[in-house]
Amino acid sequence: MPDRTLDVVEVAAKSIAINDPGERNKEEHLWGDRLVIGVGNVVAWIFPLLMVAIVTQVIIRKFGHNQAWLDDAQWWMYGFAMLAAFGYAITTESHVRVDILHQNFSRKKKARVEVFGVGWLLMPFMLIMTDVMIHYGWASWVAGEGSDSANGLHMLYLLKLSLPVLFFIGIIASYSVLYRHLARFTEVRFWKLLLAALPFAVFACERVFYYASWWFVRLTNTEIADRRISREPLLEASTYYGIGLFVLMLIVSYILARKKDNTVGAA
Amino acid sequence: MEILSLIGNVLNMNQLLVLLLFLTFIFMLFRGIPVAFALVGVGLLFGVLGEFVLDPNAKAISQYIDFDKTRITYKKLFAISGRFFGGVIKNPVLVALPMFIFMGLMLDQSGVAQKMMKAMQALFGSLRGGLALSVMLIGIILAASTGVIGASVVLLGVMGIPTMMNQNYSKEIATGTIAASGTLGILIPPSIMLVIMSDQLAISLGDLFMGALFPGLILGGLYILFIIIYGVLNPKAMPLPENREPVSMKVIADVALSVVPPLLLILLVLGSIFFGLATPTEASGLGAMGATFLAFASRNLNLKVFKDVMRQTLNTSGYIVGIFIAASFFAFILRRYGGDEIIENLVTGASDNPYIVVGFILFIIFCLGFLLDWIEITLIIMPLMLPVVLALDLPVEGYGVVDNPSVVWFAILVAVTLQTSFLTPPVGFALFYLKGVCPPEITLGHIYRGIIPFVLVQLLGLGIVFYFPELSTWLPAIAYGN
Repeated sequence: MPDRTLDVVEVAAKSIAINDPGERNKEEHLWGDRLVIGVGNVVAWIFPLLMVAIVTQVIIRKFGHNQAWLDDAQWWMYGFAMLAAFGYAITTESHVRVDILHQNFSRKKKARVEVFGVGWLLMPFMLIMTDVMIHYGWASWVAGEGSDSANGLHMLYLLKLSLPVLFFIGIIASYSVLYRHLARFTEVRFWKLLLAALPFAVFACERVFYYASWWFVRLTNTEIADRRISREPLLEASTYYGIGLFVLMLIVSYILARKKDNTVGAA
Repeated sequence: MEILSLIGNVLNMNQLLVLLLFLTFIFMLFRGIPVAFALVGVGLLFGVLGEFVLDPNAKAISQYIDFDKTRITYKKLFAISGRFFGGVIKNPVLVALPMFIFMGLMLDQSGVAQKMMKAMQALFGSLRGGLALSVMLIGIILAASTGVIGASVVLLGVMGIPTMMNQNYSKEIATGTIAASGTLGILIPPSIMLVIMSDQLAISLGDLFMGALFPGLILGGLYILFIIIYGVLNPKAMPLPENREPVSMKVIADVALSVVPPLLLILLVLGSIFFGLATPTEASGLGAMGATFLAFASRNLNLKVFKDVMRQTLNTSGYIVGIFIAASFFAFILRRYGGDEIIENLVTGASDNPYIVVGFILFIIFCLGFLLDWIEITLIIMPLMLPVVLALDLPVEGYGVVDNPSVVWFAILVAVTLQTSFLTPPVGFALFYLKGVCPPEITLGHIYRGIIPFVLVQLLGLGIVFYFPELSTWLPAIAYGN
């Protein structure tokens, strides 16, 4: 029956058809997810562009025109796309995991694992990277950093300044995933979100306090040199103030949520 | 504290902490936390532990147990920004990564696999085991399209299983063939695993591609030999189709027409590297363009498919780069605890014979392959093993051309080992991907029984590469000789 065999191949061809990773579970997506997917969909155009850039480079080099800026442009495009891809894969929940046990977990248990993974592990790291890369990009901007080669792509600081932005988009992606999974086993309240991302929230409070006091010292004390500011007692204690701010936020939001729930319950 | 001094008789504090670090990581993995999140999570946990708990109490701890301070501070973390930028972003070799992913996805969409299947079936139909051979050959030719093992096993499975079942092949040989040929893709260049290995082991990507070619072809050849012998010994397992068409010139022409385009693509990529016309990165761009052209020529390309391919490329790149970023942070913290030296000493201390040390490393990687995909293994384990392999100073012939020939050889061995690991029951990755696309009457039992001879063939191949290191260094020496 050769004909039937051929049919089977035809069917197989259709069943491996590709799909758009950003459209899976679209109905569950929140604004943050759609934002990250939207950014991803634009950034994805970099790949065909990169392909064209490489092929062009190969061809024009054969004719003896070596364009250093085209070399730089290749890894610029690649680097920008890769970091945007990181956030995109958070939203599409594609990051690889060992699912020997995980696949048999209940839906609620899977959601709990995800909340812990994203809120306690990933988000604080993303915030650290954002903070670190802001300084890195800023230093490059101040130095007016350019390319290694004379006719390469200058304004390297533009690329470096884009990295913290992409990490921040990664935070938005993580937050949306956290929210979605939290909603699977409990009614989402702000205080629950704070607990679900506790290390992130504490660290964010600390950073807010740290930078606020840095600028406070800077603007009130004209004598002090910039690099000495971080040794001021106000800044050295920023960890404790940060924890304090977090606890305060937690208590206030808990009381507000209780109040709101009670009025809704009474009505 | 008493417990600490008891432990101190066996391990020092740093060894204990590194052990705990890995145990925490493994625990998180088994809970199903994505690997990248678990890596950064463990890094953060031990970072905080080092800065706020251990270091301030270092003196007190030292009274009971040997302890080197970790010296982790938030300020020191700023050092990772430069490392991250230089290692992940400003890395011209890794530009090949998304390009090869793009090429593979595009090739899947171009329908060349289906065309080859149709044509080869007609040609090999009258040969015993012809279908199995077709699948195997397609697996070898399309090795380009893969890298991510799941993808190729699924492609070949979806295409091959129904046709083989239709022709009453034994379930064992059908599933074994598909799983084995599907995993060849991680070894046969251009494979994205080799791209990442070359980055992590600091060897030339061109050397690695050329070095992997012979071992890959040898394995493919061994598989084909096995299928032919099996067909002769056990004809019932691979029956001939009921109504055979005679092989005509048209059939042969069809096969040629279907095989030539993908072969040209491979020639474009590997040939341009071999003859020094392009760097591997440039070859990846050419390959991506070529695959796009193939898809366009077969009228399978429209705007929707094009968009989906590039979004899928973004997604795949995303989870690979996730482990890149996470593993470099993890490695930073691990080094602060002295973990790299501890592991190096552990591995080198396994034996005085360097070949046994290599065998020991391969065994560890084989076991890890049950649990982790090649992405994690290459990014977490390879950098730790590099100094070990360099220190062993293995006498591998580099013909004066190949830099660090022993590392090239080691990388190929790891690739073959990983491939074997992914095929080995009960937990090989490839087997589960295959189970996912099999009809329900094929059980895991069939798959397990079917794969065992292929695992043995694989071990034979590993042995051959182990005893003849020249297999992996001769071709790169020729390619870059002049």
